[in-house]
Amino acid sequence: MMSFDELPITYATLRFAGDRLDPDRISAILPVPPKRAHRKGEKFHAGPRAGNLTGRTGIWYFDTRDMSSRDLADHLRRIVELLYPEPGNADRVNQLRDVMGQEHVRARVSCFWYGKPGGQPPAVPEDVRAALTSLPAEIETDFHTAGSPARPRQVDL
Amino acid sequence: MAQRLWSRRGNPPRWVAARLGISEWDFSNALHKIKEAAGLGGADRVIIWSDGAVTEDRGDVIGNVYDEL
Repeated sequence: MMSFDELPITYATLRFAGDRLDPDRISAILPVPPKRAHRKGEKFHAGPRAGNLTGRTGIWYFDTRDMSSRDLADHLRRIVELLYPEPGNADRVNQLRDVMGQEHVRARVSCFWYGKPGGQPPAVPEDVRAALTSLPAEIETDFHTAGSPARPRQVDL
Repeated sequence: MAQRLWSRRGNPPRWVAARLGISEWDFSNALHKIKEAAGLGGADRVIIWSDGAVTEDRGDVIGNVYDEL
């Protein structure tokens, strides 16, 4: 468990989801192993307490929770680097668009941030927003400040 | 037998984390990961149980908060 001094904590997630998704097709494009990947109806191990579950839809899921940076922008840029290995190289994005179109898959990036009391929530950099929306990926922010009610989540597409 | 702690849309209040014996930020962090990995969004309703289990609308388990700490 984390202590108060370790706030803010932040990370970003990248998810492809759809009932017809074959997650191996996403794994064949992106150079990182997913943290969860299964087809709809497939059994998978969700942890020692949750045990074995059945996929409610097809999922390919990755997150940056193992990155130590407390800057959300660093986490988001890690996601963008997966999609665009260098500026102007849209090969992976084009391949992902093909899979998304053929298998009726939706892409989504979520941003989690939990800050100290009075902390100012971060903004999603405009270049990151542009790169993600061009996939297209839905962007959701889930920002909290200790001691305050959670902020309403925002979803952009 | 586990008790139902929360069963609404959106982010649960702070007392849910307290009932689970974990910090608010550990709880929010874990719940965010569980919902995203299950294909759900922030607005989707989930049910949180006193043993840490998280179930979706149909009653299927989608994860456990303690697995994500």
